[in-house]
Amino acid sequence: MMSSKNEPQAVTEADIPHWPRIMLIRPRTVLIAVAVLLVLSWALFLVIDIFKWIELGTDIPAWGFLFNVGPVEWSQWYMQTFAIVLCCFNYVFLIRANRRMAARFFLIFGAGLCFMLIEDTGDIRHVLSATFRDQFGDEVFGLHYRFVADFPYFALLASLPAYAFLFYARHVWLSFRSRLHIFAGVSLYALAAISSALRHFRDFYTRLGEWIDANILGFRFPIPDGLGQEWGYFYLVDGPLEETIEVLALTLIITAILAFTANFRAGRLPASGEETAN
Amino acid sequence: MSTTEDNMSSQTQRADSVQQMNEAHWPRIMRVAAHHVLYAVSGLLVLAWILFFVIYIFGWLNYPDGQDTGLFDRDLFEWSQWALMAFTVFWSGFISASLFAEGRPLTARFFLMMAFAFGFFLIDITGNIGLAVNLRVRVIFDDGVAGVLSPIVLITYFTLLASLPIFALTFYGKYVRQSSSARRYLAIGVPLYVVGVIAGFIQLFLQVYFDSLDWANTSLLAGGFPVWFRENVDTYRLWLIDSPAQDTIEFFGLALIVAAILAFAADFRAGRLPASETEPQSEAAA
Repeated sequence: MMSSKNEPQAVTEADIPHWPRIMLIRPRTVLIAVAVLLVLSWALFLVIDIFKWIELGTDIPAWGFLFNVGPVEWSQWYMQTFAIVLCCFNYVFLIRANRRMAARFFLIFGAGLCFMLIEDTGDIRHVLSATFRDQFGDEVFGLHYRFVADFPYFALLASLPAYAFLFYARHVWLSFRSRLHIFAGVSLYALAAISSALRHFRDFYTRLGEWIDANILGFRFPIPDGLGQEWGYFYLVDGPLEETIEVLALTLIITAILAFTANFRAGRLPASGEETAN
Repeated sequence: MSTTEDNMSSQTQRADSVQQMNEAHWPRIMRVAAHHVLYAVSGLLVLAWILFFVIYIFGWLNYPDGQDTGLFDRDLFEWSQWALMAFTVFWSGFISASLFAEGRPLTARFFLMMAFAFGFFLIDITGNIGLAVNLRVRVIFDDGVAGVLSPIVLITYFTLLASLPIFALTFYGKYVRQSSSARRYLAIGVPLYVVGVIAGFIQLFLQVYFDSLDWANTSLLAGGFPVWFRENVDTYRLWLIDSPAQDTIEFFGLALIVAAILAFAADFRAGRLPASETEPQSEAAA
C-alpha cells in the first residue's frame, strides 16, 4: 500500500495492442444472444409441451431436446471454452501491467473452468456415483448414495473458483462495472451448485418439480411413459429450471469478466496499492 | 521469410528486455514440459495394452464375463484424454495471449484458433453434439425429410469442427514451425491424429476394415478376442478398431500435438524463436 505512488500509469488501449476481436466482444452482445436463446427455448417448451399448439411426430417431449442435452446446455460449453481463453488473455496482460493479484484471479479461475468444462460435458460424477453405489449400496448413512457421492465431488470442483473468488476477487471488484454482474452471477451459480448437490437429498428435485407442475404448469408437464412420474418431475427441475439458472449464471460471470477487461484496457481501473507491494 | 534481415538489429535489442518480461510471467502450470506429457500418455497407453493382453488375450486375470473393461475408451483413460484437451485449451489460450503481447499476432492467431479447436473437440467427444442433433432430427422428422436432413447436419457439423484446425495449420502453421521441436512433433502428431480420427469414420464404409480385423484377431491375437463381442460379429469388429487400435493412435497423435504446443511455448519463452519478422509490422498494427 505504501508503494502506491510507484504504481505505473494506468495502462491505456494504445499500450495494450493486438487483442483479437473475439476477446473484445461487448458484454451486452453476449447478454442479448443468451437472452434470445433462452426466450426461444422457453417459448418452444411452452408452445409444444404445455399448450400443445404444435405437434411433433414423437412421444419424446420438447423439453428433452431443448435444455439438458440441448442448445441451452450446449451453449454453456462453448461459453466456458471462450471464458478459459479470455482468462488467459486477462492474466497475461494484467501481469504485464503489474497487477499480479487480479491476474492470479484469472489464472486460478481459468484452471477451475477447465475442470468445470470436463465435468459439464463429460458428466464424470455419474460414473463416480455408480462406482460408489457398487461399493456401498443405495443408501449410505441413511442418505441417497448420489448425495453422499456428489457432495464431496462438487465441493472439490468448486474449490478452485471459490478460492479465486475468496482471495483475489476484490482485485477484480475494482472494476465498478463488473460488480453487479459478478454478484448476480456468483449468487446464481451458488444457487445452481448447491441445489445440484442437494438434488437427491430427501427427493428435493422431485418434490420441487411436482410442486411446479401442480401450481404453475397446471399438470400439463408431459412425462414420457417409460420414465415414470418421479423421474419426470426430477428432470423438470434438472432440465428447464437448472439449465436456465446455470446458463444465466455463466453468462453473467463472462459479462463481468468482459466488463472488467474493457475497463482495464481503457485504463479505468483505479490504482491498486496492494498489488505493487507484492 | 525474406524480410528477416531488415528488422534484425532493432528486434534483438527489443527482444532482450522484452524477453525477460515474457520469461518471468509464465506461471508453473503453463510451463509443463512437452516430454512430460508424452511420458504420461505413453505410460497410460502401455498400461492399457498390458491390461488388455493380461485380461483378454492371455486370460491371466479373471474379469467378469460379459463386462466391458472399457480399458481404452472409458473412465480413467478417457478422462485423462479430456483433461489433456481441457488444459490444452488453457495452454493454447495463454500462449496466444503472450504472443499477442509480444507483438506476434500471426503466430498468436494460430494458438487462438487451436485453443478454440481443442475446446470444440473436447465438447464433441464428451458431449457428442453432432450425433445428438442427428438423433433428434431422426426422431422429430419423418423418414423422408430426416434422410435428407441428417447427413446435412452431420456433414456440416463435422466440417465446421475440422475447419478451424485445418485453417490454422494451413495459414498460420508456418509460424509455429519456426520452433524446430514443435515442427518435429507436429510432423508425426498431425498425421497420426488424422489417421486415428479417419479410422473412426472409415469403419462405416469399408469391408476391408473388417477383414483386416479378422486377420488381426486370428493371426495376432490367436483368436483370443473376448467372447461376448463375437455374439454380434460386427460389434466386436467395431469394438476392436474403435477402441484399442484407433484410440491408441488418436490419443498418441493428440499427445504429440499437445507436445508440439508445449515445445513451442518453451522455445518462445527461452527466446529461441527467430525475431518475429516473418510477421510484417504493418500486419501487426492493423
